[in-house]
Amino acid sequence: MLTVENLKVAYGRVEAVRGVSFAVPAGQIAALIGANGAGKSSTLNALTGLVRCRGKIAEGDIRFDGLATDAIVRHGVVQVAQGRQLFPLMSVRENLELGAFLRSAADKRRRLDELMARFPLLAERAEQAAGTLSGGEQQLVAIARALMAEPRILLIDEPCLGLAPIMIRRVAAVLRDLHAAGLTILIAEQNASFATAIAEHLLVMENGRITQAGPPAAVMAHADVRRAYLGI
Amino acid sequence: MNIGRLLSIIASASLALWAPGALAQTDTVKLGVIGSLTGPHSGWDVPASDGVQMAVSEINAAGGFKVGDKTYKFSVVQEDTQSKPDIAATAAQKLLSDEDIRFVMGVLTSTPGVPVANQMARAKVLYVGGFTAMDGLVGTKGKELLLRALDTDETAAKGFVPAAAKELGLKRVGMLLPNDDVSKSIVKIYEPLFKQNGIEVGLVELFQPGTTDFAPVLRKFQNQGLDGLFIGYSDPDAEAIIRQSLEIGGLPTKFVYRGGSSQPAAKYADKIDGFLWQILTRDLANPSDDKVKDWILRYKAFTKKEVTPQTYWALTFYDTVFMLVKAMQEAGTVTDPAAVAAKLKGMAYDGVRRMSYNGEGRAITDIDIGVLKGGKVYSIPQKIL
Amino acid sequence: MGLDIAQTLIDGLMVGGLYATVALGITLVFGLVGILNFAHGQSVMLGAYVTFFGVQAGLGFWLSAALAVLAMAAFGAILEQLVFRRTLGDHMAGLAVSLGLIMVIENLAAATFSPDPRFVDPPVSGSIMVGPLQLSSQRLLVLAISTALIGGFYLFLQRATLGKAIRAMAQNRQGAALVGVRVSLVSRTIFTIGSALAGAAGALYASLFAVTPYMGNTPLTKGFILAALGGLGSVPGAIAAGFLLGIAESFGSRYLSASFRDGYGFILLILALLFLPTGLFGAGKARV
Ligand SMILES: Nc1ncnc2c1ncn2[C@@H]1O[C@H](COP(=O)(O)OP(=O)(O)OP(=O)(O)O)[C@@H](O)[C@H]1O
Ligand SMILES: [Mg+2]
Repeated sequence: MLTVENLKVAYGRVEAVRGVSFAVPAGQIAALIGANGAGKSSTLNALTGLVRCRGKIAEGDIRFDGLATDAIVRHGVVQVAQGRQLFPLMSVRENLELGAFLRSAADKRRRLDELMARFPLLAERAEQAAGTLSGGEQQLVAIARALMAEPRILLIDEPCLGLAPIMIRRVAAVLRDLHAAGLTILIAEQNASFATAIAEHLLVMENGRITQAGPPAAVMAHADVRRAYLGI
Repeated sequence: MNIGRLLSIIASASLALWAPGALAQTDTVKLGVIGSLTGPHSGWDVPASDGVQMAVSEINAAGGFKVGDKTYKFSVVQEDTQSKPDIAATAAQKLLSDEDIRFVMGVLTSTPGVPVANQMARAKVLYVGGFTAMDGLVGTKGKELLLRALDTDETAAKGFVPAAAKELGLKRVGMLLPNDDVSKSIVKIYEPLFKQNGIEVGLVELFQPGTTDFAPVLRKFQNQGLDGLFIGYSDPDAEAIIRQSLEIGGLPTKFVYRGGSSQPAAKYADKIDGFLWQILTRDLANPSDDKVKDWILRYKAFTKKEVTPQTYWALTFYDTVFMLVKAMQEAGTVTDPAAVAAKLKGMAYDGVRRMSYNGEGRAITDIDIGVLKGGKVYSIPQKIL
Repeated sequence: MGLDIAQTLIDGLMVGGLYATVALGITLVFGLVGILNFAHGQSVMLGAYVTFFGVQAGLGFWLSAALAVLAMAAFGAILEQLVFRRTLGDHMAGLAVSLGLIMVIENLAAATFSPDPRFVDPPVSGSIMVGPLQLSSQRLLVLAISTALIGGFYLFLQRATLGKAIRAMAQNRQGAALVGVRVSLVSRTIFTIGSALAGAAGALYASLFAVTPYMGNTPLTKGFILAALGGLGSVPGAIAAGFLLGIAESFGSRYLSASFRDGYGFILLILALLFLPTGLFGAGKARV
């Protein structure tokens, strides 16, 4: 169980996250939804040590707020960040290999074989420079790169941004598979219909605060949220 | 200590204080000495100023000198130009602010030298310098009181080229110098002189100042039928050229160096067939002349320093101090620098160096030519005067 | 004539290797850490002095050169820790600091070592005949060593895990952090390696040319030209540019005028900026 208590992130004067608390039980898919600038990415970045934060972040009894990103990755918490953050001039294979940067060479090879078997696209495009792939393909590589580290908790920031509906469905299928395999997943998403379709638990973020939380049906029943995110 | 003892000390001390005034028969002539006592140029100017101090001390120890019916001694006022042109200008200014200073000597390097010479010319004091760029100043209008104590390139070349022809048996040389005004005038002077002495000049190349890699330009000198290289004019350039010639191969191994030290060839003595350099004063390392041997002993006693390859610069102004005395005596004044300068010009003097100043104020002197050949180092005196 | 051209070409390659080694260090630090380290030339100079004093103390050339590499590696790590870490991301501050460092280091060196040029006895001397070509033995050795250094380093970047992390960081700093690369550690490593390369270049320079407190300036300016010529941050570009400059200078001084030697580099730079604004290999493939 991932627990976050009173998390705060500030960039100089700008308070991006203003005391957020939530929990994601092991094996659950949860989604943070919110408009542009709500503080979703800041929250995920705080969880992976990319930005400085205050508050408590823990998995079970083990706290990992204040740790460096590499220690957090070692702990099994890996993020697929907004914009994918691939190494554009390196091949798909090199991108994936770097995903297992902290793992042994044997783990790296085993993991690479598993993922290539699971996603034929990766094997097909193994030697192509990652920067030359389409957006959807890149998202897949980004997810696969994160999986190379064999995380227990996967954080994904805006997986659907800029993707065509068919590609969105594909990403959703991948996430469901991972969920079925027991991975704990936290998605940050603007696309509320995608989030409601896939998540078991929704967290609505506005101006750096969580304003509502609960199962998708319950949250979406709320008139404010429907107006804000579904436009109805 | 008893009272009587104390009183006697006070009495003798006050007597001592009174003594110079009471017994004053001698007056002093202030002699300005300027130069880079610190910084990269101190290697030249420290020995040069030692030489002036040494001459002054010898003159004073002999009781000073008589001009008219008065006896005078020198007192030296010294300023440091710190190897920098801006500091040199202020140092000169500082000397000149003392109105009793009418005679100044020093500076062997051009960067600090030029501002010093300009200040001296403006103040109308008699200034004897040594740096190369002075050749362009001496004898020009408004600079009548400037004199240079070292030979011009033209003068030195007259002794140097025949020595090169004789010692190294050269038939055809290439010239390799940095691309600047000094080198251009060197080429203009040496090229015809080589021809007059039966040496062809096969190739002249000017390299970019600051060059460290000479390989490509040295390739131009290969297969040109050359038996010698004329190189200049700084020690580091010369050493780099010699070193890299040997490294590349296929190049002449006799070098004629338009420079003042054997340093560039020292490490390669057993790999080259000859190296000639100019000693613009006298050879102190291998002296053959008794006057020089005697001077070295006095120099060591006076400065408590050993003789180094730089020491010969101490002879730059040494004889000129004695000539200055003679000029003052002939002019009958210690206060009129113009009259004294007029007497210095045209004066010949047989000191440690045999030297004279011509009508413009340029020194014409005998020099020694340094030779490194067959692993031996020696020098040959060249009569020019 | 053909012989002459071949010799001139090899002469050019021999200095080119030195240029490339220096440019590699500069481009590495710039491309990966975003710092234009003007003090790089000073590392070359200090490396040359370490070599000189090592040889003078009787350690011999090779041991002294190794010492120079180690000493400069330490120097780079210290500089990064004390200075450049604090200017990360602020180009102007980095620039100002490294320019200031030049002054401090150069003047300290001049005061401590004196400005007199020093010459180091090279491990091999004279020339050898390679077929009909007469070549300097020491220069050939320098070419071999610099090629080995450059090649070895290139392989390290391509194959080693740390090398890959370095390239990853150059392409996407956040991406590298996300996979667990400790960015600050790698930055320091890069500084250390760059400075060690400068130390090696210094030892090689010392085996051919005079060692003076001011000797760092020429390699530095040329290194920057090359880094720009190769497309700032591109390792293959900097290497190719280094050899190209060596060859251009060699041919220029041999067949045109030696009094314009350092100008050939700038002509190359200007032409490159005009016609290949993204560097020798274009922006795409270039980089590390
Ligand atoms: N590096 C930064 N420096 C300063 N302000 C920042 C920085 N990153 C984010 N912010 C600010 O923090 C606030 C929250 O940004 P954040 O990226 O977390 O929002 P988001 O919910 O992920 O938005 P989006 O859906 O557009 O990605 C915004 O106002 C943003 O401008
Ligand atoms: Mg975001």
